[in-house]
Amino acid sequence: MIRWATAARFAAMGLVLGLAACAGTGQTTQLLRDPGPLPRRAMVDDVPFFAQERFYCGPAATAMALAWTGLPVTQDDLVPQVYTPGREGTLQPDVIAALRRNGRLAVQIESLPDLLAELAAGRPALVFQNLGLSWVPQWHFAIAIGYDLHARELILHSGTNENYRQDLGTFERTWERGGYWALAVLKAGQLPVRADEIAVLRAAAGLERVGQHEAAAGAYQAIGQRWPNSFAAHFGLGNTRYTLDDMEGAEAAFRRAIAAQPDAAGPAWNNLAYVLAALDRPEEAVYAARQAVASDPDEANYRATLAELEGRRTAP
Amino acid sequence: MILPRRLRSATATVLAAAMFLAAMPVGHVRAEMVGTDRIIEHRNLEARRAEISAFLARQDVRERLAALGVAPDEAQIRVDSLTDAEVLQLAQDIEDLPAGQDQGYTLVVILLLVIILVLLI
Repeated sequence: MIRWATAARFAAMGLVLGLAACAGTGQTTQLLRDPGPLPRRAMVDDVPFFAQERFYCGPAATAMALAWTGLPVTQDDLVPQVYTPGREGTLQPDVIAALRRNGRLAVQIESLPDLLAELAAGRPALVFQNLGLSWVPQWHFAIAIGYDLHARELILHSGTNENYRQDLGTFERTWERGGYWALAVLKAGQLPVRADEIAVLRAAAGLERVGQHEAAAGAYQAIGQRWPNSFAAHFGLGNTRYTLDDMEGAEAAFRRAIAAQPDAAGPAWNNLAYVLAALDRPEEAVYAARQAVASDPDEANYRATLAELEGRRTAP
Repeated sequence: MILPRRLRSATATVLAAAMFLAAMPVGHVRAEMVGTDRIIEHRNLEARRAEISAFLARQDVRERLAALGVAPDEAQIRVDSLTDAEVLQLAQDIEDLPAGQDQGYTLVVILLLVIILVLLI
């Protein structure tokens, strides 16, 4: 009997130790050792705080991020957009969708140094944490608003706590259990300090998808400036300008796309053909459509475009 | 008629596929602008297949969101706001996807329980 009790006690102690040590804090350790170009502390002062109501960390965090970018929204405004009653909570894709619907670029951030770089640039980030355990999860959205490497702390608006200071290593563990998921929430034309080209292109295409064409155009333009050889950025700008009925802007953008990737510019030639037709330059439109067909003779859409534009040219 | 969710979802998928194929122009290629999505996400041959599966996923996710209490109109807007890649990810398992709720005290409660257990034994 005594032996059984001893064994149980050891098992329980092992469990406690296991809980404490179940996740690493590698990025924190690395950052404290060598923060690189990051300042030792940073704080975004003007992020509004909305204390969450029960189950509403998603609406509250989304509203705080949007309000910081200048939109007059409240927690209650966001409930229908991000809250899912059957789950008594908020799913991550709904947060991305809501940010888009409100015309803001949502770009995923996946490392602690990148997260701190956003804060150092004076911009908050929406973070997703598992405050429970991997097997008893307690999922939570919050807004990171600052950090202090000397004190080893991250500063958040979280739940009902304004300017809540959390140990950076603890944050890293809870963030890791949430899948290293954070979002930079940006006004049109801004890009995260550190982000890869594909991530920002996807974010911009998301804006285009929800019909936020002005915001999408601003994002594509900024991407094209940072990555001048980005075919997709110029191409996306061309499409949004076309949708916004700015044909001169669309022509310039498609021509930049062609210049960036002349060997595989079929889609840009195809779309340029429509822009030139809209500009009432039928000869040039047919020329562009021929270039598209020449780039990929098997693409039926290009051949159809050429046939249509040739037909229009000969029509009275 | 009550069907298990998996079966219901499969039925919906088949119906949606039929509707999608019926809506597609047969034997005729439309001359059109190429969308930006296609440049970023898919390339040529894969494009149509990816479009069809995303189309089906949209139907599926919309129905499941509505089943979880989201207003039908709102469910439609949410699904329409996602890119193909995102909607495919969401369709994989909306019920198992984490949902952010509260700060909670799960960890504290568990630690207390364990400590009490240790003291009692």
